[in-house]
Amino acid sequence: MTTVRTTGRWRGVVAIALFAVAVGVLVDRPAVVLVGVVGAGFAAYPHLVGPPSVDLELERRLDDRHPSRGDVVTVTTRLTNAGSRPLTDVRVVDGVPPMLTVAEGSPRHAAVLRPGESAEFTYALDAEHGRHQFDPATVLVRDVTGGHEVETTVADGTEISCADPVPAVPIRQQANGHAGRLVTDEGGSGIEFHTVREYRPGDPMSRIDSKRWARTGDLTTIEFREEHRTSVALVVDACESAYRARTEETPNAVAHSLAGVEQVLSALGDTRDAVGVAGLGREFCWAAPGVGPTHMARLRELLGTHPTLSSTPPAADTDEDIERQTEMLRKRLGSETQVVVFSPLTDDRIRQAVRTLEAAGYPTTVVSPNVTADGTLGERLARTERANRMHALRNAGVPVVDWDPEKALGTVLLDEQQRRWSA
Amino acid sequence: MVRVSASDREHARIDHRPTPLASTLSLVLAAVSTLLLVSTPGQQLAVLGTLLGVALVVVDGRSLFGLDRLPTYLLAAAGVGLVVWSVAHGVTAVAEFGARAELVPGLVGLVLLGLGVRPLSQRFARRFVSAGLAALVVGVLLAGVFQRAGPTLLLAAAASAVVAWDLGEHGIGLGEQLRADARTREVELLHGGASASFGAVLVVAATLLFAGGGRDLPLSVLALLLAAAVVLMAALYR
Repeated sequence: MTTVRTTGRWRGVVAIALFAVAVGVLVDRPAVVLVGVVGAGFAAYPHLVGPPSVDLELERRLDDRHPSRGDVVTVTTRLTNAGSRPLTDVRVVDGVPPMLTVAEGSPRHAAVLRPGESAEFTYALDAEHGRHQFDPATVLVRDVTGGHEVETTVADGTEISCADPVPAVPIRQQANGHAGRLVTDEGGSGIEFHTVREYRPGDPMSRIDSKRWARTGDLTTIEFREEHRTSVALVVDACESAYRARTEETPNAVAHSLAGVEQVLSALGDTRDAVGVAGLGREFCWAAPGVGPTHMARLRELLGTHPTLSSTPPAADTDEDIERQTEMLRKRLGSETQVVVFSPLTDDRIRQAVRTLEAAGYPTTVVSPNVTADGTLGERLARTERANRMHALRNAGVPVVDWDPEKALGTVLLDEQQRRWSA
Repeated sequence: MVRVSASDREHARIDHRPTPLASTLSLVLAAVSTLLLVSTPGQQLAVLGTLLGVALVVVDGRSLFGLDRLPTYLLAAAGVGLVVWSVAHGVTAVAEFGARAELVPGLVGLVLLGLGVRPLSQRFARRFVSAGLAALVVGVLLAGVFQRAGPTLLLAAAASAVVAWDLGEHGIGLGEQLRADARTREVELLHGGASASFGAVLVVAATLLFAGGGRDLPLSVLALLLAAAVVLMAALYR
């Protein structure tokens, strides 16, 4: 995405020329008229050079790709002019992952780059839990006069992963035919004892309760809890209204949701459960559930690159038809798929979408990063509205996990699971 | 997030002020523009005093020479005092109207430029710098009208005023986009150097034009030629 524009910063200089000529003629002073030459000359100045042709390469080095939380990661970014023309005014803002804060130095740099030359700058980031992908760096190149400006982005798929095990994935009790790790309430073959029932012809001999047969002569069969595999679709609410943040400096709810999806994805990646990702927002985004490292890599790429799953808000006038997108999601979901929706619940449309999915027979769970504050009246109203939405969803039988983003998602989910078991 | 303590936050407060190098060069060039026009030591003292005062106001609140924060308001107050004294001195040092006319707009321009690169207000920084350029140019034209400087000096003063504006605006842009903690020195120097060289070329060319034949050319013809060139420029921009 490259935009070339004229800045028009020299436009006002024409006025100097006109003014000088007018004054000079009026008072009959050739020397004053001559000052107009300077104005006219500077007005022509930006037209002497054309817009710069930009061909840049970016390379990022991290001193630690797998830090633990609180570690300081040093990032060294190197920008190289791969073109054949010198670039006289290159300004680069590195795409720091939205969840990470700069601890030291500046991710912004300006440089003069001759062909083949490169500029290097270093800064440090505070590591937070989760996998963080760097956004493409934004580069602004101006010609030497500042008359033309080229804005472009240079990408380099760097990522930092800071392990945060999510021990309890919020999946609901539900069964399908495949063996997996979801422990069901159905009897069959498995590990955990379930029931003892009367022998039916055809039961495997190994499951006959031999002690009882020896004691009483009755044939009985032991049943174990069946363990099934599940299929989960992780849905990110990326509507315009979901891009809310507690303060201007903290990440918005979509950034938290994306970080949460990454963490759940890592947890599910170790199992045999099928995982898919969907996004509702700018446009419908979908990757069907699947298993295996290749599928995981594809999902991660989708999370990092799809415009809907971006942590920067869309333009204000983006047309988002959530109802239609929910319908598209419903059609694509397999009959045995569970849905986990990551949403700050700032919008009634998303509550409607969750109810639609639940009513259509897909067990749905909501993980809701709480980004509301209670400072102003408006903030308190938003908080109450969100609480009402959570309440309405819980009444409809949809479990809602209220996630305070200052706590690790794994801890919150584990707490939630224990609370539900004890309840 | 939680672990950012209050002092860290204070330290990391985003500083979008214009970059220091471009601001400094801009102020110096603006002072040079006025110094080229004035002749008496009293006037020169007034310009230098104003420059120093404005510099104190601009430096106020910035970190400098490894000092984290210079004492706020103290410097600004000293700077404002110095500026007031210098302007008063400049006005009283000479009695002639022409001498005041060439000096005062220059001093006003310098102050406006300083308020732009401080900046007094982030939103109006560019406006202040442009207003500073306008005042400097008015000073140059008045000096020409009262015939207080030769054509070469007028041209040089006008060119350095334009380059001062260019540097100020460039520094504001860099400050906005990259913040003051990014390393921007090379870009600023190259940009300023290119503009200054172009200005020098313009001054030399115009002086040669004036010496070589402009003097014999009737004023109306010269004016017509320049007006045509300006209209051409305006048409180019549309």
